[in-house]
Amino acid sequence: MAAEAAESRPGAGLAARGVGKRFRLRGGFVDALAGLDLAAPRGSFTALVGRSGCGKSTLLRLFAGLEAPTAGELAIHGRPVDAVRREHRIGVAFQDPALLPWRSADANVRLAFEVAGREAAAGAVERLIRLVGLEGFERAKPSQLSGGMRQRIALARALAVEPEVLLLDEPFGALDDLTRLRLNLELQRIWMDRAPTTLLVTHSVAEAVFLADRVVVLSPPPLRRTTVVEVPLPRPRERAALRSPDFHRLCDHLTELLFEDAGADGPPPHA
Amino acid sequence: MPEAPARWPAARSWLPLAGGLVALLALWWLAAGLLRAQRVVPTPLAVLGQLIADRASYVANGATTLREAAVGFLVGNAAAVLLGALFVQFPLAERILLRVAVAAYCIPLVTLGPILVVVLPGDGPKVALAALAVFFTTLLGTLQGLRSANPAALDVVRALGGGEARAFLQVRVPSALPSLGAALRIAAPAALLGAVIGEYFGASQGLGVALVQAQSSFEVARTWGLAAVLALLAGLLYALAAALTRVLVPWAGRDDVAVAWAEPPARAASGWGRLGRTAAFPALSLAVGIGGWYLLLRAFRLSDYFAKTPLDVWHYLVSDPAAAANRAELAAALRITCLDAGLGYGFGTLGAVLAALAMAAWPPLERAFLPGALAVRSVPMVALAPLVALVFGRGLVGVTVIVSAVVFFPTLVYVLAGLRDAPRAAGEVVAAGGGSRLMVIRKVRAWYSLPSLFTSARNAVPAALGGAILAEWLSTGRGAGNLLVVAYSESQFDTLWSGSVVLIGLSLACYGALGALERAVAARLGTGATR
Repeated sequence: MAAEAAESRPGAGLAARGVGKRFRLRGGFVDALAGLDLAAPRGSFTALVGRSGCGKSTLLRLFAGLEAPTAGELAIHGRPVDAVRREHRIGVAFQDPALLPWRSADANVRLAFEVAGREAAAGAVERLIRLVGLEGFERAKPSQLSGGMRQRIALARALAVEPEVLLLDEPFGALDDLTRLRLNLELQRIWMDRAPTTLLVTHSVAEAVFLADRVVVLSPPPLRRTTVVEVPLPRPRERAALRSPDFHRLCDHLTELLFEDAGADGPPPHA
Repeated sequence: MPEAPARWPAARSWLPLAGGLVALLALWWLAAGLLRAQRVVPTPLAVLGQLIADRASYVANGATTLREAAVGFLVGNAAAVLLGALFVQFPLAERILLRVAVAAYCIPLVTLGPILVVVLPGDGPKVALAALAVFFTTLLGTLQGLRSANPAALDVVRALGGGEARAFLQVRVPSALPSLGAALRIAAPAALLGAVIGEYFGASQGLGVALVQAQSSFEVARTWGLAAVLALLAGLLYALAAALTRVLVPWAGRDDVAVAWAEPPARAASGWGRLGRTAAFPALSLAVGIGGWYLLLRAFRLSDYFAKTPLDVWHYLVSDPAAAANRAELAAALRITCLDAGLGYGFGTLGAVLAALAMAAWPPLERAFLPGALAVRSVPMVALAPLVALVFGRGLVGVTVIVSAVVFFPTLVYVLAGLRDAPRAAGEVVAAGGGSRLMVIRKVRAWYSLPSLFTSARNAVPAALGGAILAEWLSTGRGAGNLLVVAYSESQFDTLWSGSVVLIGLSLACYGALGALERAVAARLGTGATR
């Protein structure tokens, strides 16, 4: 399986060392991140959870090369982020699907190929649209699609050029539970098949536990604690896994961490 | 929510327009009857008769003027779009050069016209004035449009490894088309007006020339006929621009469009103090302006009898023994002009906003009366002024009416576009909650249209000052407009240039104040964090 073949060296996938991000405001400045460390192996699936204001979206943006850190450094697969970005090896999907309203759905997916300067293989775009379950909607304009459908097109676009690293910021936020679960299963299947190093920012603890190898909990300032919870559940994870006691224990543990009530309750439960 | 015109059966879409025209004609006939003694308002029938009699000359003159307007339209818009693109990609250039562009836009016609005639051969002055008429509004529209691109879409392109050029061409440019369309709708009739005014400064053929001749010979029916033809042409050009926009930009107003402000977001102070940064860029703009001034004087070898240098202006205003008296004279005149412009701007904007709200609430109104507003705007003030003076007098009211008319139409177009571009979802929330169409406007669309209001204000404030100057020249005989015209006719070029410089400075100050106000409102409302 892809997970086993992945480089197990921590930090070979996503690495952040002493990362800080300071934003200037009118009155002064705010540190969205300070002294943050993160290490994820290549080909792994990492979920990022935390309360609002903890900086998880900022961290994702730093890994996408959209912002530069004001302190510390980041690396993807051992290389500087900007180099990886310029080689079109990053796939992103944000909360805002950000489809171009003047392009049809398939043209929006094709944008990824155009930016990468590559020809889409015959039928590649159609396959991607079928992958996210929107067969028949290729020629639809974004204004004719629901929010969830737009988000699925955005996901197809993110996967189009088979990126080495996948950065997702709450891409399933606007979807109903059924579609969300369906897409989670799809994402897992794709990830097991192609093994991009994946970072998923999510508000849903269940989604994080279902998809990820490890869940990183960020707490907002002034605490700024980074807690890593391993998710040793076996793969592939089917819907039945959602009912297992281990799954529930992990979810409960993470929920407690998020509420910061219990703090240290001992080591996380093992499978 | 506005229904797309295409969904209306053809008859219903023509009815409001016909209704508006009929109303206009009725008003005209009434005025002709009421003012019969003064003989300034001929009946529509008389005008029509004269038109038919003159039809041959209309074709020749019309072709000339349209050609000049077309070339000016192309040149002015091309320059504006290119400069706008430059400013968006290089905000530093904008901070220095935008002020210079505003200053150029604010040069009083009285000063500019004669220079253009001396400097440019043949059709040059008319094309230049037509280009200048469109340049500024298209520049602002381009800036607003390019900055309205969805920041998330730009991020996606960048994260996918796309460069600046790709992000610009594939995201910013298509996003800019709705705003550019609104600007071009205003520019089309404005170019025509610019060409006509250019002909006033000296030409052998054209509708403007015919208008001057008809007016000076007191041929009232012919004057009105020419004005009507100009209005009709302006309307056709506007319709053409509007149709073009609809074809190119069918997606406007339906999706979630990030509202953006024409100014780049204010960067918080860092490094050296805020005061240093605030003062540095205006100083740089001033340097560029003065440098350009000297350069143009040198390049075109303008005689120093009538073309003054910055140093001459400094002498006149500061170092000359009579400087204090000069300044006092200018100040007194400017006080009057500010009042004239301010009142006209206030009423014109208020009227435009109310009209836009009404038209947004009830689309048939737009189809009925927008052409009328366009007509009023497109007739040169020189033709309108006598009528206004007759009806409203040569005092404050008359000037206010003229300036309001100048401000009304562009503001109306901008605010309408702004109201239309509000994201549909936001309005639907209110509508689904049982809100009436008016409530949707009040609570949602009006706020989303605020950026458009500010963009139109930046355009309208210099226009109001220019309109006030013109009205004072033609009608009231007071204020800075009168001062400048008298200076020109008495060859007192020091006064002419110094007065123009102070006027430009005033316009720039207003423009800067508007910018500060816009930033404050943007920060307060939080609509649209642009990148």
